Amino acid sequence: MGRPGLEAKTLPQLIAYAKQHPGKLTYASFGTGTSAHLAGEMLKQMAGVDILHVPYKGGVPALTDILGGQVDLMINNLPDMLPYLANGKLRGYGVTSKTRSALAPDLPPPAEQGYPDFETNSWYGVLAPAGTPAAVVAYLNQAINGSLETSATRTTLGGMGFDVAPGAPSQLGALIAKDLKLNAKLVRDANIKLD
Amino acid sequence: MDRRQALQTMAGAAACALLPAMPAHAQSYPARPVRWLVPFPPGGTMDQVVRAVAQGMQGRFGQTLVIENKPGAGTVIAVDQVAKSAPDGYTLVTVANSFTINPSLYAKLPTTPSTASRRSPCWAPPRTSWWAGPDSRRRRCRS
Repeated sequence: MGRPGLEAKTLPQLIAYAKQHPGKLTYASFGTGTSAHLAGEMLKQMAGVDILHVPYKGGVPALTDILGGQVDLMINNLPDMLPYLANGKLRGYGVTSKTRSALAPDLPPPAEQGYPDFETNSWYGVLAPAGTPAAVVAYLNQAINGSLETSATRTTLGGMGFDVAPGAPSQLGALIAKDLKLNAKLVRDANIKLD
Repeated sequence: MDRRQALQTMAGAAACALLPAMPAHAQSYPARPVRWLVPFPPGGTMDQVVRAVAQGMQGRFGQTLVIENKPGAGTVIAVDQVAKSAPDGYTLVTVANSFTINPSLYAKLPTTPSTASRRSPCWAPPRTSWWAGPDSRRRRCRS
């Protein structure tokens, strides 16, 4: 999806434009080292393009500036963007997940646009201190999964744009281990440093 | 065993069968309220999510969940506090992607993630997307 201002209407067109105009496009994030920043760097590395990162102090000023045209692009959580998608103030180039989202089925994932390896999702998880007895973890796991499976919780979180993902503690452990490794590489390769 | 005793044993067995399968050690847990830290301010997205999930746990959890907002230092304050708490299940924290970014950003974190299976389950939130803002360059050309 595209906002009328930018010529590129699809992700491949955007990448082609960025390749022809290195350093000309800018993208906003919630701040240095945030998930939005790392997602931008991931795309830059994968597509081999130079897009300038502009860190903001949180999502609201970033959104204000992208709406005002001071910055070109942004990777943001989909629910926050849906109103601007609906009223055409912003153009969506796709979701960053492996598959399409029910929230915006018109937005293709990168895998459908020639970037099968680009995937990044926001997530929340619940942690207990290391060393917590397995039986206690299992009890918490069951109670939280139980809540996630109720229609009331699903409806509330779904309304906020969340997919619920009840699962085993080991699944969250695996996700964390995978992201720790991936993010360490991104931070190193993009030379991301806090001010 | 007299008849009365046998009935009691059977009643006990029936009550057990109605409980969800759960490990024997957990039967004494939770014996008191559980603190659940949210590393963001009240009313924010994570706060709303945690409160919704906690609401859905009412009745099945068997204890009060006390949600405590402890924002600061990019979630490090709340995470550190929970990591240093007794590993007994009475102090929890909700984390997001930043939990897996901070160790690469901060040279010195008070505590570091352990990837052993100590976690309760996760719920995955909003997917992200690419967005474009108005192009100031083109607008200038038009004016």
